[in-house]
This record gives sequence, structure tokens and C-alpha cells, in this order.
Amino acid sequence: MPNTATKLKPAPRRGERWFAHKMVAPTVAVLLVMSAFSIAFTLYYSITNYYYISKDPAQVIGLKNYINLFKDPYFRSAMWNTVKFTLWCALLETGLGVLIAVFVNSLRRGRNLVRTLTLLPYLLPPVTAALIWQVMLSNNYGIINQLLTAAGLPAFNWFFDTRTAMGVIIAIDVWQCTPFCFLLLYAALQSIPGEQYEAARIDGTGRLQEFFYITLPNLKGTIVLCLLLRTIDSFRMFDKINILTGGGPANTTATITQYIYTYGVKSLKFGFASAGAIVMAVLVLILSSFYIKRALQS
Amino acid sequence: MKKIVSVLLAVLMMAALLAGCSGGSSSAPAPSAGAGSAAGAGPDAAPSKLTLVLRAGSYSDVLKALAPAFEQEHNCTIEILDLDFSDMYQKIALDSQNAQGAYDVIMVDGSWFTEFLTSGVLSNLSAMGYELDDDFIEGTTKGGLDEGGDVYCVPFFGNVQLFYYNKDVLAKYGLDAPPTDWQSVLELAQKINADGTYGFLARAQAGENIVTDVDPLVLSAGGQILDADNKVTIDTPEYKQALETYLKLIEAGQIMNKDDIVAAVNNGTAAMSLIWPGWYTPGEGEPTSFALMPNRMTPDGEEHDSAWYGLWYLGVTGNSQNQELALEFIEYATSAESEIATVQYGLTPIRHSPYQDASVLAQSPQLSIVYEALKSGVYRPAVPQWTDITNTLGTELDNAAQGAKTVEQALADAQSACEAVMAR
Repeated sequence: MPNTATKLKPAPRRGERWFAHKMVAPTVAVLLVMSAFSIAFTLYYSITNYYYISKDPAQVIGLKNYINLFKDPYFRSAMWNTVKFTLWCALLETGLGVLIAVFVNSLRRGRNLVRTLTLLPYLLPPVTAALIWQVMLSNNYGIINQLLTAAGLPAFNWFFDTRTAMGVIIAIDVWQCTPFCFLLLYAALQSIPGEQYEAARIDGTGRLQEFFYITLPNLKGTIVLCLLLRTIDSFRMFDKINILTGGGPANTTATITQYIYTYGVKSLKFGFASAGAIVMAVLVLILSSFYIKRALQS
Repeated sequence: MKKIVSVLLAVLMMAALLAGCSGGSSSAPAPSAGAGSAAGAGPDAAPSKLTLVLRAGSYSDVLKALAPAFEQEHNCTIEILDLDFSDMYQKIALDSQNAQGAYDVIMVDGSWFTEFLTSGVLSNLSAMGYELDDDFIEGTTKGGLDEGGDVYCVPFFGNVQLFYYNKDVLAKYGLDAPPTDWQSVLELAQKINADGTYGFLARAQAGENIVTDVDPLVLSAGGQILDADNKVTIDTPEYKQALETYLKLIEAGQIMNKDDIVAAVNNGTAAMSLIWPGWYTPGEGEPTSFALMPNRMTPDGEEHDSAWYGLWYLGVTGNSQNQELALEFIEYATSAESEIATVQYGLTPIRHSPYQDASVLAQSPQLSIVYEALKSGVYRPAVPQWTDITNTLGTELDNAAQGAKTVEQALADAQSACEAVMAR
């Protein structure tokens, strides 16, 4: 006699399958128009010499745009800057998000207030955040340099010094986006059963052991999600870099998006810009597929 | 029954989706609709609408001050878009490909003119009956003409590079005006810097910023970016001398953005810099002043005109739906009366008569220096590839300024990269 617990679910009938297709049809239509169509056109433009205000029609030039892209040392440098920037931001934002979430969760009083204050940077538009920091880090009248000078420490030309420019942009992004990770991780912390901590305390474990053997394993899925989302976002970042440094000094903060903007979009060379966009899309897909696979497995 | 309901539901959802898409495009603000209804309007028709695309700052303040009187007289409404330099260029270029343009009057930077002219972005104002008069400062009108002498853009804002300094700081060193050669400027900057004040401030950021910073020195040294035949002349002894002097000036000061430069020289944190009058014009009693750009490298060196024009022009878009009205606005905005009336809002006039008006010079004594500079300004190379040239050259100059490349390597790389740009 077959065990009902292992009895297989019957295959959907033809009518049910058709109903399911009809229900997802609008979403598929939107995706086709908004995503597939756009990607197909960008792919086409990437093999042309499309110059937006030219009177001559765009001509197909094969892979010339891609060859020029990879031959350009500034593009290669932009790719490396993008990887560095993405790794630092994703790791720092997720790591700090974990620590802040655990800390806020441990508060007995003022938890709501601290939680709200922690979220404030994330609520600002990225352009506003960039402009605030531009004023604070100004070499002329910025509060940061004034405090450093008052403390007898050296002041820096933060955005125009190759030693500090990238670090400052990473710091600003971490300041603004860590609250996002905190929010996801804090929510995940609420779902950890309290009995696990109680049992651990009965067994005599310390706080640190609780963190490494109970908290982190329970947060693993959310940590992977944070890493994935922050990786995708950091990879594409443009606004802060464009406002604060424009990719300088000496291309030390030029990421792929800034490169595409400077050499493609700004000069209306949309064929070349499309090639850069396709390369970037492929890189983001490669990065995110790794995370998605791990997440699905776990 | 279930099947019928599900089919109906799916059809309704698709219909809502399609209606939302088409509804979005028709309900969104449609500049072309407004403009279309304005063209050739009769006396009882709804007011015409002119859309102006302007550079944010004093440039747009001037036209905002002029707009109400024009609106009243011509029964029209004027919508003004304030944008920054890059946004203006992009929006104008993107809209130029539409059959019906969203914009009517546009501010055009001199460096965009050739590219816009060859791409059909601008209307031929001469074909519409417009003629320039003799009151415009000679030399400033050339940047708005095609090879046949037809007018496509009318000069509007007399932006030209100037030297900017703090009078009190220089007075401490016994000077009531800055030196007129770059070697002396450098020596003074080094002396001031050694005493704890920034001697010279540079923008030095990649792109147009550093190219315009370096070029006065290049011109003073007798060099140029492109020669008369548009051949690239960057890897030359003159350019090298200019760049090396510029790098020493940075060492005697600091790199800042334009707002910080104006503030730092104004509050005495720094002594000298370069400036465009469009950024800021010192008023009476202020500690800062303009001076003409140094025009030679050494005290006994050969003199060269060394201040680039950054003139702003007004043009009518090729796809404007209100070309006649737009031209009337330009004629009104660039008249001598309008220029005199709007100096108070920050206009740098581009005609002779405002500079001969006592009330104008009383409002802004610095304009007398601007007037002299406008009479001897130098145009940037008029090539359609100028945006690419500034991106490419600016990157290499930035590398040199940051020490990422030697001067020789940066200039050699700039030379070959710009030759590739010009060959496209």
C-alpha cells in the first residue's frame, strides 16, 4: 500500500496549465517590453557606430566597439576599480549591518529610537547624501578638516587626492547603505527562536559563542541576500562618483558606469556606450548568478 | 464558467496594461502639444509658450528677469529650464532628434557650436531675417556664424577667462595688481604659500576643467592644442613648458572645485586663481578683483592673447514650433537696453554700449576689465570633435597633475589619443 506521505502530487491538468500561463502572461509581456526588448536593442547598437546627433545613419561595425573597449587601459582600470569598490562596499555594509543589528537587538531601552536614527542615512536621496558630504569634506570650509586641524591632525584634500578619493567614496556609500543591510538583518534576527539562546545559556555558552554558533548560522540566508543586493547595487553605482569626483583624480575612482558616461553617453557615442553597458550587464550577471546559486542551494 | 472568467480576467489585465502604457505617454506633460498649439496663434487664441534651456546661475537669472515683460507684450508664457553644463548639452542634443522639439531658445556654449551646427541642431537666423549690428564686440560674434557668415547663434553672455586675486593678500607683498607673466605669478605663489596661505588655486579636474586651466599658459607660451589646419600640437615644447609651470602652481597652492575657489580667494585663504565672470563678479568694496590673464611666460617673453572665450550664445532649435517668437525673444534679450538693465542680475555684456554706460560701470567696476578681456579673447578650436578632445586631453592632464604619469608621458599619450579622435 503506498505511503500517503510520499504519494506524488498529480500532474496539473491541461486546463490548469493554461490558466497558469494566462495569469503570468501580463508579467511576461511587461518583461519582454521593458527588459528583453531594451537589451536586444542595446545589443544591436553595441555593434554599430551610433552617434546620436549624426546626420549619417548608424552603420554596423561588428565587434569594433568591444575591441576598443578592452584595448583602452582606462576601461580596464575602471573594471578593476569597480571590483575593488564593490567588494569593499558589499563586505563592509553587510558586516556592519550584522554588528549593528545584533547591537540594536540587544538593547533593552531606546531600541525604537536607535533603530529609527540608524535608518536615517538610507532615507536620503543619494544625490543629497553626496552633496552633504561634499560640503563636510570641503577643503575650504569643511567641518571634517576643521576638526582634524583643531585636533592637530593633518587635513586632506579628500576628493582631489589619489590616496583618499576612493576610500572616501566607499565610506560615504557604507554610511548610506549599511542601514539597508541592518534592516534586513534586524528583521531576520526577530525570527530566530529564543529557545536556542536559552538552551545555549543553560549549557554555559558565552555571548561570543552565541553569536558565532547561533546568530550567524541563523542569519546565513539573509547575509547572502544582503551581499547579493549590495554587490549588484555597488557594481552599478554612478551618482556619488559623478557628483563628487567625476571619476578622478587620475581615474582612481572611475568605475565602469562612470567610464561609459564619460566616453559614451556624455559625447553621445551611444554605440560605444551600449557596448560598455552590455559588458557591465554580463559582469553583473556572472556575479549575481554565483550568489543566487548559493542561495538556492542553502 | 471558470474558463470564461479566467479568460476575461487575463484579457482585462492585458488591456489595463496596454491602456496604462499608452495613457502614460499621452497624460505625461507634452511640451510638443503645448508648443504646437502656440504656433501662429491669433489674437484670441491661447497664449504661445516658449521653452528656454539655460545654464543655471547668473545666466538664467538674467533671462528670468527679462521674461515677464516679454510675456506681457507678446501674449506668451515662458518656461525656463535651469540646468548644469553637461545636462544642457545632453538634453539639447537628445531633443534635437525629435520631429517636434520641446525647446525653443537654447543657450549654446561656444565649444558646442560646431558640433550642433554640423548636426542641424540650430536654426539659421539669417534665413529668418536676423542681422547682427555693430554694437556687438568684434570677435565675439564669430563663434555663432557658419563658414558663409550666416548667423546661427547670437552672443549673449560675455564669459572670458580672467585672473582672480585677493587684493589684501597681494598688498602684504607690496603689490596692487598681479604680475603679467607666469614665471612671476609662480614665484609670488610660492612665496605666499611658504607663508601659510595658498598661493594659487587650480581646478585641475579631468575634462574641460583642467584643459581650460592649462590653456592660458599654453597660449602664453605660444602653443595651442590644434593648429590652423586642425592638426594636434600637444606634444610640443610650448605645451610642456606650460604644463610644468601649471604643476608647480598647484604645488604652491591647492586643487579645489569652483565654488571653493571663489570662497577661498574671497576670504583670503588663497591669493590667486583663474575665474570666469559667470561664476562670480566682485562688487564694490570686496577684497577680490579681476585682472587680465598673464600673457607671457617670462617678464621679457613674447606676448600672446591668452584668455579663452567661454561665450554663451542664444540660438533657436531647428525643431522649435515657435521659431519666429523665439527669434524675437533673442533679439529682445540681446538688445543694448536689456543688457544695461540686467547687469544688476549678473550679466556680463557683450556689446560696446553697456560698457560705455556710466551707470553700468558704477554697479560693477570690474566690468571694465572684462571689457578689455573680451576685446582680445581667443576662441577654443572649432571642431565637432571638441567634446572628445577635452575628455581625452583632460584625462592625460589629470594624470600628470596627480603624478600618475610624467609630463612627457602624459603629453605623448594625449597627442596620440587626440590624433585618433581627430582621425575619426
